[in-house]
Formats: sequence, C-alpha cells, structure tokens
Amino acid sequence: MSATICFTSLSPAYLPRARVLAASVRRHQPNWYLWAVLVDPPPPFLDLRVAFAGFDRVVDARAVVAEPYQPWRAGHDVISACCAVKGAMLLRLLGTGAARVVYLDPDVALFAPLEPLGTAPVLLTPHRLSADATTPAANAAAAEMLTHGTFNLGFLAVTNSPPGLAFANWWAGRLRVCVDDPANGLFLDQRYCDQVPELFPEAEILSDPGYNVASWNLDQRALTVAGDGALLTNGLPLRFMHFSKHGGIGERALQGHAATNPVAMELWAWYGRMLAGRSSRI
Amino acid sequence: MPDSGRFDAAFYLATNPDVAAAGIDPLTHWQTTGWREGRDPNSGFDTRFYVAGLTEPLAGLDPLEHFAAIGRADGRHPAPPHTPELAAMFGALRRVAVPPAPAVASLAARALAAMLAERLVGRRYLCLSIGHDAFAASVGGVQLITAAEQLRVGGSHGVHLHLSPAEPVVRLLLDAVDIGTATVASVRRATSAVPDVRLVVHSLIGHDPELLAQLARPAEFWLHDYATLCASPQLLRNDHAFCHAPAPVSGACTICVHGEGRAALLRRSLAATERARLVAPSDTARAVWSAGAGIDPSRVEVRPHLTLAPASHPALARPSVPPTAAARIAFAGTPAFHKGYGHALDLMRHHSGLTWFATGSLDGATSLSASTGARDPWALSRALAGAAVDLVLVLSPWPETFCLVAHEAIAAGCDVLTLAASGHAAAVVATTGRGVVFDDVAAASRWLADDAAGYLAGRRARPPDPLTLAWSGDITSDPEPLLLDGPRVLRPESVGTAWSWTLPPGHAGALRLRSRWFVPNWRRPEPYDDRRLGLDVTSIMFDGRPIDLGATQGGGWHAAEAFGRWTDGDAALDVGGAARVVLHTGGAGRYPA
Repeated sequence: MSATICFTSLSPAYLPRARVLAASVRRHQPNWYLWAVLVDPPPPFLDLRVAFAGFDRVVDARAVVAEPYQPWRAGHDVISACCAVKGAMLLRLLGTGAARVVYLDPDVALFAPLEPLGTAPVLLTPHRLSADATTPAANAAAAEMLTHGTFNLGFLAVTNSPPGLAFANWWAGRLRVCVDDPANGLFLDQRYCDQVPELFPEAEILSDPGYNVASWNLDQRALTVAGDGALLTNGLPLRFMHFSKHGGIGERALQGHAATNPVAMELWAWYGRMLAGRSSRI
Repeated sequence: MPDSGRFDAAFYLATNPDVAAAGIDPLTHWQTTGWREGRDPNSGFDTRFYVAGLTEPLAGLDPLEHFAAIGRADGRHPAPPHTPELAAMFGALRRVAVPPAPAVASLAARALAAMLAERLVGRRYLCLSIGHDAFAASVGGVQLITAAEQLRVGGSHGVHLHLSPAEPVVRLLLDAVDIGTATVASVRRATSAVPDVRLVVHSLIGHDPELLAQLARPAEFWLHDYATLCASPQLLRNDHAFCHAPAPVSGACTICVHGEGRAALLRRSLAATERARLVAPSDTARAVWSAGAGIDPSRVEVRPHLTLAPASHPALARPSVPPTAAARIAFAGTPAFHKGYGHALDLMRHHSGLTWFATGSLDGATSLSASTGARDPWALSRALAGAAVDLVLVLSPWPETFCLVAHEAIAAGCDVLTLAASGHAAAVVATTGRGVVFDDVAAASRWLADDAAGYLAGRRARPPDPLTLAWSGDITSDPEPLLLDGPRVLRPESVGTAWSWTLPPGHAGALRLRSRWFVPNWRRPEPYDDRRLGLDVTSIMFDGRPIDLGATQGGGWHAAEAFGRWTDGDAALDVGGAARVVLHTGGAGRYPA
C-alpha cells in the first residue's frame, strides 16, 4: 500500500482546531487519509459524523492504548494523554500497511502541500535553523530548547520501513512514561526525540523553514508574501503553521515580532476567524 | 519621547491610584509585587507583553531591569510595536462589520418615469451613472469626477441619473439632486421607454451587477480603483500591504479579511465588464488592473480625468515666502492609511521644526480650510496656494490610479513628495518634475532633514512656470438652442450665430429657451465665473421686431451685460403671439476653452 495516513491526537476541546487542520489537509494533501484519535469521549450532543466530517476515521484512544484505560487516563492530564497516545497510534497506523504515517498537532494548519517528504524513515522538525549569536537571550533560549526538546513533535513523519518501525516501537515504548518533569529530564513525548539522531542515523532533520512555523521560532523564520500571493518562510513556501497557544500567551509573543514579521499576525488572526466560524477560507 | 527603560514614578502613581492611596513607595511596589500583577512602569513599557515575549527566565531581574540590561540590546520591544502599517493591519483584523439598516424604496416606477419624461423634454439622452455613494453629498475623487460628469452631461443635452447603493434598493440623484430611492427593477421599467440610455459604471461597490445588467449594456466602465478585483479597492492585504491582486485561492487571500468572497466578487464584476468599454484614468491603473484581472491591457482605454498644462492665464496667487523660511508642508488627503496619513503623522512628529498644514484639524498643524465638493472643485488648490504650501505629502502605499490631491497640489504651485509605490502620484511627479519620488518613508524623512531646505531655497528663488488643471472631457462649443412649447420641442434653422424658428400655430406663447450650458469655474481652478451659462444672447427678434433684452422677464436669465445677456441654459421666453423668432448668439468663440 502506497498511501499516506495523517493523524492527529486530541481531546474534544480541541475539535475546532482539528477541523481547521482537517480542512487544510483536504485542500493541500487531498491524497492523504486523515485519522484522529480522541483521548476523551465527545459530549453526547455532538454528531460525530458532522463534527469530524473532514476526517476519514476517528478512533477512541481506548482502542489504541494497551493498558487498562481508566487508570492510564487518570495518570495523565489532557496534554500528556494526547502526547502519550501518539506512539501507540503511530504503530497501529503503520500496522495498516500505510507507506507513511504523518502526525500533525490539531492546532496546525497547512498552507501548501507537505510533500515531497523524501525517503528518510523518520522526519523531525527542529526549533532552531541556525546557530544563534551569543546573547544572554539566545543562551536562555538554548536552555529552554534543552529543557523542552530540540525538535517540536507537532510534526512527525515515519515511513513503513524497518528503521521507521524500529523508531515507532522505541518511541511508543518510551511513551509509557509521558510526563512534564524537566527536573528529571522528561518533557512529554518531545525530549525522547532528542536521542533520535544518535539512535536512528537514517532519520532526517527537516530544516526547511516552511515546516512548523510557530510563535516561538519566528525570529529565525521570516514570513513574507510573494507577488503572486504565495506565503513564504525565508523565501521558501510556507508549508504549515503551528498555532500553539492561540487565545493564550502566543498572541503576545507574536506581537513582539509584529513589526518584523507582520504576516505572522495576519496568519494568527486568520486562525482566530476560522476557529470562530467567521471564515471558511483554507 | 519617554525612556521606556526607566521607572516613571509619577506615571505609576497616576495609573495605580491604589498604590498612591496606600502611600507605598511606587518603585518598591513595582519591584516587589507590581510587575507580577501586570502593572506598567512607564507609558512606553507593556509589562504583560514584555514578559509574554520572553523565552528565558527573568533571572532575578524585574522585567524593566531585564529590558534595560538585556532586552534592549537583544532588540526586544518594550511594548507592542506601533507603525502606521501595523495600526492599519490591526484595524482590519479587529474590525467587526455592522450592516446598515435596510432601506426602502420611496419612488415607484411610474413616478420615476414621469419625472424623467418631464426632465427629458428637449434633451437627447439619459446618462445612467452607477457609483458607490450619493456623490453630491460627499467629498472625494470619484465624487468630484461624477459631479463633473453630471455637468458635462447636462451641458450636452443629456439628463444625468445617478444610482448609488442603499441596500437593498438604490438612491437616485437626478441631475445631482436627491429624488429618493427605488428598486433597480423600477429604474428599469421607468427607463425602458427612453430611446437613448447611456450607462456609465464608476463603481460596483454595494451594487448587484446582475441586476444592473438589466438596465442597459454599459457604455463605459471606469476603473477608478481596483474594487472590481477585490473588496479592498486599494488592493491592501489586511488593509496594510499592497497585494498585486493575486489569485483568490492564494495564501495571501486566504489570510486576508478581504479574501472571503473574493472569488465570487471577481467573477461577477469581470462578467459585468465583459461587453463594456473599459476606461482607466492612468497607465498605472490600466497596468495594475489588467494584470490583476488577467485581461489584455489593450482592451482598456486610458483617459485622464484632469490634465496639468502650462497656464495660459494667471496662475493661482501664492503669497511670497522668504527663501530661508522653514519648509511649509501639508498632508491634504483623506486621513486614512491608504492615503499615507499615519506616515505623514510620523514625519510631522519627527520634523516638528517645519511648518505643517493639514486638511481638517490636527494638533501641530495649521488647518487648510478646504472643503472640496460640488460647490467649488478647486478649493484644495486654492487653500494650498493661499497658504503658500511648498510641499504636499502623498505617501500612498499602493498604486494610486489617479490621485487628485497630487494634481491639485501641483496646480497650486506645490511640489509633491511621494513614494515609488504610489502609482500615478509618482508618475505625475516624474512627468511634471514637480516633486520628489522616494523609495520609502525613511528616505523621505532623511530628505526632509538633509535636503529640503536647499531644494526649497532654489524653488522659492526661481519658481517653475505654473501648471494648471483642466478637465479632459470637454463640452462642445455648439450651444444647440431649442424652444420648448410645453412638451413640444422646436428645433431652429441656423446660419452662423443666427437661430430662427417658425412657430406652429396655436403655440402657448410662454416658451422655454433651452440649450447646452456650462459652469466656467469648473473648467479650471482660477476663479472667473461661477454662473451656469447657457446662451450668450446678443439679440432677439419676434416677427422681425427687436426685443429689449434687458427687459426680458421670467427665470433663467442672468443680468444684462454689454454684449447682451446670458441664459442659464433653461430660460423663460414669452413670445406672445409671434410666428417667427430669430435669435443671435455671441458665437462659439464666447465659450471659454
């Protein structure tokens, strides 16, 4: 099977975001199958067929997690549950025979196709694209990256290959412990992946600036608009934006970049209109 | 400017009355609890914003100390940055649309048809003019151009009926007078019997193009702006950045507040232009519009509204200014970002030593009393000349299609400071040499600081030859007099400037002498005659008997002059029982060019 399956992991509260993700995947990667894994049951009034209309399949995390669900769920807060289930879900989807499985956070939106993704068995997106100058802020930012992980796991692409499966098995195993505990070197599903380059040498770091643009990395990713209306990051197509902390402190972080990166603010506002149902433009 | 890195005790106490009331030392309060509560230490420092933007711990510093010690050097902002572009962008992103209350039709088709029939007696055609607002009641470029059109139509034996949106109906201005509202269907029924209807589209904003298509095929479709391409008539993405009208599916349109519905707008308005003669007021407008519409530019005729030419008559009077006096500089447009208002304010702040002028009231600037409109189209030129303004800012961030302000400024003897991005404003500066075109606002600011004084010393010592404005569309000099006997139109025989009528038996006696007319003051800025002039009648004979022109009774006659008497284009003429009327006019040469 040569299909790509894309999946996201969410609680019902993130459904509006996931719907934006789904619509954007439908537009830019219409050939992908789109799955969602839900860590908590949706409210009973929700018509799942309508709410998840953009998805091909919605899976209850109960059907994915190997452990008894209630105690497992009770041991995780919402965010860590959504992260912890990613490993098991990845294995399950590779088990369908899909050629590649792509994970995207529910608060991601595509602005261009993500393909071609090459042949590397594992693809990760880094926070930093180049070495920072020596400033106290950059040093502090480096410490921050080392605390929370070098790669942002809002994106992950794994091929159905021996090294890809080896990675998926390893990561799913690690995720039996998925906690926010920086003192012990743990941060959800992310910090484990700091080890990927050494453990899985075929893995690649996707250093294209158009993947995974987010409020925390705008200082190295200049968003512009080309004359033909294409959205660009450092002059290359913007593939996807990660709208973390929309409605929260993300906006203030963005405002700091507004003078040099006003397009980020426009993207942010567009996302707000989408979430509020005031726009349907993907 | 206050130092955003310093604690401002007075500001802190003024903005935190609880601290003042408790008698706590303001700095101590800020350092211990104030910043954690999100209070601001000075007017230029936004504590919540600054802390949210940090990616590193404060390391024992309060946010202000962090900014002073680390953040400033790192290029961090103490508060959300504020530029005219960002202000415009945030305005667009935060705007909430409030739909107007629906209007109702006040005129039925039959009533409108009766008004038109009465007005059309002795006239040749009906001009249906489509615009975005009731032009006679507001001020602006397209409004002025529509007012000029109304005069031109009236001056060439036409009747002007203007339709502007008052959703879901249209407001009607008959020869520039508001006569009420009607449905487009009523307008269609009322005009269906008129043999010669000429539809001119100035703007589709607020209109239903498919409904308008039922009125008539457009004779002319004006591209005054880019509103046929996008809901932003200036093609400003999120109101702040020129976008080149990309494909509606582009990323730019996706994230733009004007992107919603753009595909449909484009499809509908381009369908409306399909069989029309497309007219653009400048090469810029043609180039930008045809590229955005994907239409061959050769389909678009370029016809400027106004031309600037060497003056053949005295230019507008300008008081003299000493060569070394500070530059006299004005912002003279609509106070909006797309007219460069925010940048003009910034320049005003940074160059407060210059003498500033502005239309409207603005702190730090002398008000130019100019309300351009149907009463005096050249008021702005007159005000600029009267204030001896040297420089007028036109910092539009988009390709202006025409830019009346630039023309008015040059006609007033001013130089225009504009941007390469400002479209026809830059083009008119380049062709006339009256001003400077800058790459960006920063370059304009440097020029004001370094070069303006030298430039103006030369300009004031040797002012360039004056240029004056004239409308490009003209009224022909043939006055075409008619006599109206009630609804009956009597056409004359003419020999040179003599016009003769043989009147039918049983005529009413009280006739009307109708002709083309014009308003000289509308032709050019220098005031010379603001009357509506029809015929320059030098003599009238009834049955071979001369009439005393000075004694002519009834409306429509101006005061007697040495040559005879002007009508206003629609004058009463009581011929009694005469069977023959012969009238002499001063001739075509009397119509000012």
